Amino acid sequence: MTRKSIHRRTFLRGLGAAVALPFLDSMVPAFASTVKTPVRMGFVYVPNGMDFRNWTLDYEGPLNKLSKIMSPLEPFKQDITVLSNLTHNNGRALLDGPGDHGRCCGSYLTGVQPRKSAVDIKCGISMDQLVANEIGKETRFPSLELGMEDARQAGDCDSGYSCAYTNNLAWRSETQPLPPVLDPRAMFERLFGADAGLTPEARARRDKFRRSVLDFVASDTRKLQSDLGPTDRRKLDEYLSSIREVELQIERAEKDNARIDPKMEKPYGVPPDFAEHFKLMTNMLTIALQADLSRVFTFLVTREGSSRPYREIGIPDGHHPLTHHRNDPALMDKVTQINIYQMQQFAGWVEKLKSIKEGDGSLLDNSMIIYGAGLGDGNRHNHEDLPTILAGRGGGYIKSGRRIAYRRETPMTNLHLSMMDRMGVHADHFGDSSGRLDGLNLA
Amino acid sequence: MQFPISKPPVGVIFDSAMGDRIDDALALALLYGLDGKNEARVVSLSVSRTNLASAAFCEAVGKFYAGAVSGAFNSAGRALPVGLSLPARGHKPDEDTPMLTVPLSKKKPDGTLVYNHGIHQLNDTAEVAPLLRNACTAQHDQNAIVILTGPATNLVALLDLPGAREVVAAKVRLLAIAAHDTAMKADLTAVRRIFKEWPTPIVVAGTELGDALPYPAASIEKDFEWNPNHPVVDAYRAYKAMPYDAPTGSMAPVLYAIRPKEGYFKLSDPGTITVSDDGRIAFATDAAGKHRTLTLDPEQKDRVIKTYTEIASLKPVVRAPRFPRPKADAVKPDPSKPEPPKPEEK
Amino acid sequence: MASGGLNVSLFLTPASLQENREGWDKIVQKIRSGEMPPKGMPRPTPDQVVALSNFIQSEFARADRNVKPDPGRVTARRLNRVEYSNTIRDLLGVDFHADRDFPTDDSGYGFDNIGDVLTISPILMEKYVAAAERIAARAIGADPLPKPAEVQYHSKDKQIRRPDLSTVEATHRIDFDGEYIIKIGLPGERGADAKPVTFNLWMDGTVIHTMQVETKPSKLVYFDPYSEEEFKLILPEGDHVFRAGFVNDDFVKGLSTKDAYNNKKNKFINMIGFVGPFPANVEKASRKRIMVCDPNSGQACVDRILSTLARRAYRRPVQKNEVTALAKFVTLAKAEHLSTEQGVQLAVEAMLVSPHFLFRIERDPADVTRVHRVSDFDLASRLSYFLWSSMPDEQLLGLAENGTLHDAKVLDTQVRRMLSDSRSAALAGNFAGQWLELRNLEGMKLDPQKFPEWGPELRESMMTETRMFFEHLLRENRPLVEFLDANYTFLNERLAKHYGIAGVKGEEFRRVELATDQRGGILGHASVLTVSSYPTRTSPVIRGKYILQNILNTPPPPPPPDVPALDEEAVGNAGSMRQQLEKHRENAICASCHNRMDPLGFGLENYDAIGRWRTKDGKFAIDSSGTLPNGKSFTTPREMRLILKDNLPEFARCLIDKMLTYSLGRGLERYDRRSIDDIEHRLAASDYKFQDLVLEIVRSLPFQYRHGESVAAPTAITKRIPQ
Repeated sequence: MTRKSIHRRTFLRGLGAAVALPFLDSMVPAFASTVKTPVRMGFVYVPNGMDFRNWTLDYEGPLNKLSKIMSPLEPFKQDITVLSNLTHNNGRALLDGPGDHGRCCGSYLTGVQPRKSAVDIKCGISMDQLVANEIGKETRFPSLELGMEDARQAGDCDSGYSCAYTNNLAWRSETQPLPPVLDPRAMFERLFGADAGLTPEARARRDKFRRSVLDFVASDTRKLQSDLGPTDRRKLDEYLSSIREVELQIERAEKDNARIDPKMEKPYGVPPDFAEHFKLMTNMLTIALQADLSRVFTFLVTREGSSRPYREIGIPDGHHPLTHHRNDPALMDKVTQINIYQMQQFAGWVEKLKSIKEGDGSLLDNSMIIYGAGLGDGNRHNHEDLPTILAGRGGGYIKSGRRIAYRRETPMTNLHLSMMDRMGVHADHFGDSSGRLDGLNLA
Repeated sequence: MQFPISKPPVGVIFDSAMGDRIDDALALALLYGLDGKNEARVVSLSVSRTNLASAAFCEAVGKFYAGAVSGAFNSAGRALPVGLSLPARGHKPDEDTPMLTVPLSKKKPDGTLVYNHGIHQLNDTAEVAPLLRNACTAQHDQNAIVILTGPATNLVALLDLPGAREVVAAKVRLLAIAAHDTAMKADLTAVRRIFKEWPTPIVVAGTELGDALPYPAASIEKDFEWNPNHPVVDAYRAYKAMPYDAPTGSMAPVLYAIRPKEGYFKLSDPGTITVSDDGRIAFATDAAGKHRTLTLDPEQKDRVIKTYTEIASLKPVVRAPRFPRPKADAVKPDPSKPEPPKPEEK
Repeated sequence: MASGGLNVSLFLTPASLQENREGWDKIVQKIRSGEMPPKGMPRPTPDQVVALSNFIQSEFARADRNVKPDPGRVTARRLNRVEYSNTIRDLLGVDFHADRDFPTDDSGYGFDNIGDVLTISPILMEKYVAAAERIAARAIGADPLPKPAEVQYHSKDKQIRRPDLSTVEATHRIDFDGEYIIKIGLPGERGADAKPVTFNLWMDGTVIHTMQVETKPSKLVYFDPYSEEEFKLILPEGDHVFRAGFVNDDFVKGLSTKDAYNNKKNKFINMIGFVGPFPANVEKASRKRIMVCDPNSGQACVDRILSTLARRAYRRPVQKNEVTALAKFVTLAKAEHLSTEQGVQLAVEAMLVSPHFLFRIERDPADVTRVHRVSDFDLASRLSYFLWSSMPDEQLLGLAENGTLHDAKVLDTQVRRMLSDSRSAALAGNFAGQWLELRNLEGMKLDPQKFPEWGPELRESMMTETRMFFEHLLRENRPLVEFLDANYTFLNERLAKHYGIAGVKGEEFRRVELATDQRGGILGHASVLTVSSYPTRTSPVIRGKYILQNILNTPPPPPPPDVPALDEEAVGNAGSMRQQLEKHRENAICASCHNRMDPLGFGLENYDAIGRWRTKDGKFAIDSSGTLPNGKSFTTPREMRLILKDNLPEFARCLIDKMLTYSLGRGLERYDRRSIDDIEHRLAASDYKFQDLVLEIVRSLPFQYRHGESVAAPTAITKRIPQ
């Protein structure tokens, strides 16, 4: 099932109305032989590392007993792969001193060491964006960025690192992070349109106007740019490229006249309850993946270094202060509880993805979703053996249900390269990669 | 705004074929001795011998000095593992040798091992190329040296890592090689590529130098009396029937690279080195060359041997951790886990 | 030798005064504060310290005389969320909350208006386009309203938050400006003699409706007593936080928590609903303002409408060809069979997405290296975004057109006028909100078990106190020292009760003279004391750091890696926090910074994590004494305040640094030091008056001048290796 399928489009036009998704699914078998199911790729990032006492497995090979923190995934252990010993050398200090939270998040998908600066930010293009640049033209949104925690509003973020590093996972360029959408309503409107009330004609006219406005400002900008200094010109370059992106979105939406009916009520505001919020965000994400609105996503569950308390499970202390527990077992247990609670939400989503049939398998089978953290142990701030779980089979390529322990110092970017391969985006190397990961391509 | 910070001691990356030659073990003892004197920091250990025991021995020596010395097991706030190269496709791993197995299996009266190490399977070791590159990235510019005493296999793997060449050029100021014929011969392609492509100056100590400076068996007998258990001494005794004087080829590059201005050896003019098919090196003077050789200065012979024995037999230096764990009684540290990391040297 | 990471060998030559100026600055600072030389070493006499620092200052000044003054350069700055909202308000009269719609602006140097960090992402662009459509439509109101719809928020669906027992809160998006019916669900009943209670509805923290609600049984026979209240309000489009609650509800205080939602025992709120939009029968002020003539009267009027608006939107005169380009949108709309007004609406949309609106770009002269005065129009924007976080008004634009704005007298008059204008509240909200970290107050999630009093009402009261205090000092041109110690503050009943001060009745804030020395100045404000605490308790370390960073301008360096963020988290069982911290300071490395931080924090230990006065923490008596590295010691918050008052020059400098950064939208550089020194000297001469600080900043070189940027890209100096 892809949106490019001419059959479906004709079909939808004939119907002349929004079509519910389950109906689309029922069409799939008829075309399954001719249309290749896309593979989806995404990252679910949790902050402050894990309590390693309750994270690591002490065996390799087929998954048997899961660790305490992984236990919510017990029912789906045939669908996940636990990857160990992956390292982000560029998250380490490397002479830049303190700031592991800022660095580990900035380097997580970019594989480069972020520049230590509160203002003059420089990171690298993130691997999800490399993929989005390549395959994003086939979907309405090249990539989706989600999050759940509002950025800190005042003060410094981490030891001289700009908040841009801890608030974002996806980087469109070295200097341009892509901020996550936090509000479920904003997410809903982005995916399914804020224009529910508009007739097709009105929408077409609106898009036409939008394009003429964008034309106007783009040409204005180019005139303006011609006599600016390099720094100012760079600012306006960002502005121009963002305009182009919006133009492309309009174009893509026009080509495909079908509106996705998400079959859910438009959410209002941010639910105060963590689980509720997580569920809302992932529900919409599921629909977006299912309807092939996008194949690439990053989900920054809470910002790196987050000090969110978890009252939902009776923990009034902030997450980050708790991770510096000084080996006090009571505090360490609270960290574990937070780790488990977050994993429970993820497991709930995995269950949902698995329940959605797609071709011969499930939406989960056709996905590669990394659940991971940018620090190993939150107290030690180490950057080796980063907690990494791969959910899904990447379209039937990954032999899941195992733990694979790589040799130490194996770059995390090797995983990125292997995932990019699966997404059909081939690069010789990425960040500090030293090759591809063994064991991920065994059908 | 940061204060101008004084540079830490030079970072040493030590790559050997530990297990083949006893002077590799002596070189490691010399290196840790200099580390203890704050003249160097061991920042990476790796072996090109495809044998788990080779890596395990390195780690055991490291741990012997660590907890006391910053060393590879504590440098830059983290525990770097030992790198190990894998046998080429279709090749068998290298065999255990007594200098490895004897110390590694030495037991205390209660039956536990004398020398701790955490290397029991392949995954306990590190991928060599990223390990070497990562060790370099944590060093100040031109403040690292690489010591090679075995085949050049691992260094070539490092050069082939995308971007690593630039890292090496920026961070490393010298590659010092102990050119043992057998090691050169073991991977001719690799060593020839190193002489052609390695981006920094190279200094080479030929086999003759090590033969001319034997390590006195007497030092093994008396200088290490401060501890009945020393992994290098146990290796020495297991390597050959005592008493014997071992050649010290692998020690020269360590001593020269860390104390280049001491005049221990004769340093040639710049030139170019080539390697013949039987693993012997040939040197040709060339003002534009990046290679030099180290040869014996007969007048310095006694001084060098004295320096070798004095420093190699130094006790581990206990440096108090900057941040002692408070409440040590709350949770007993897990002995199987590496020591808590130490912050970067300022 | 290395002390605290300082390589002293670099400071042994006279030339180092120039080469390592920042290092020398730190050295002088440490000697002055008494941190250097370390304990046990011979100490210089106070006279020697003054002589040394004077000598070094004069050496710096001597070197500076030989260097051409550099006003620096500000990168093209896009409007941040606050500036965007305010500009929309002042340009079009439309109430729009960019902070709820747009992604967060990144901050640098502690402020979110720094040109270098404000980026544009595709998602922000999407938001700009969508916002422009809605704002233009709302401003002109040429589009018909959709059919009314109803949205309800129920406690049973977990859609409402309960900040306290008698209050509910829901975030709701009003989709269109218009009139709405608000419904409030009130289940339960109280006793037969229960009094009516005052009900308030707040929108975004402001009361928008008040009424009395009956709480005694209705005499109707219900199994489930329930009533509903309904009223109509005109509401602005956008996301709003609506809060409905009973105020001064003494009944609930006598109720046990488990009975709070028992409908036999209590009457409470469990639903808030909205029905709408209905057309409001008032002509929009915004529309009147835009349509300066009848757009249907012909092209000339359309051009006039557009050029009038564009001049204000772009904050400068517009060219004829710019108006022509905008007028094309009217033609385009008409071609789609829309009205001229709808065409104007489309042109407004285009203006709002234009880089001329979204960015503040100052143009370089032909010779880019030449230091030059910014144009009067740029100066008008610099002023208005500094003092108002918004666009220049007609008077500023008019003076810029005359070319007289930069005249020193005119400028001073304008600054005074702007400060007395209500828009200067933006300085309190944005400058003080970030300088004093008050913006974090909203995100503070205090432990409800330990602090059941914590809720939006208390939070907003805290915020209001500090805001009013700041505005008072500013508008009345009070001396800066009152930030550190003042014998008055601003309170309402809620906060006065919190402080244990009697005799303040009602919701209104007013100036209250302080009868005791428990509080005085911002370090006794509950807002400041709360943002510098943990959710469960106080943190002397955070508070100490807060004072060093925001008051004394000597932020401590971040802790070295792998030092746990102190053992504070384990406090309570093993001994008092003070004992634990003292143990921590036995470690020399920790001590070097904590000797500075902790005593200051201890001085505030008499205030709990939400700023209440206390004399005990759990079972431990509070000991708020401390000794600073310079040997001065204190035993009460009051005595610490007096010591801080001695540091007035440091505090003034802190404020100058922060405010100059904020006013320029860039980080301060070495060459700004002269301007900062100048400002400080003049302020010292005028008793450190607050308005004078603002005036001196506006008069300063970096505020009025700039240099361009050469075409060659600035070379990045980096020790990083290429990837």
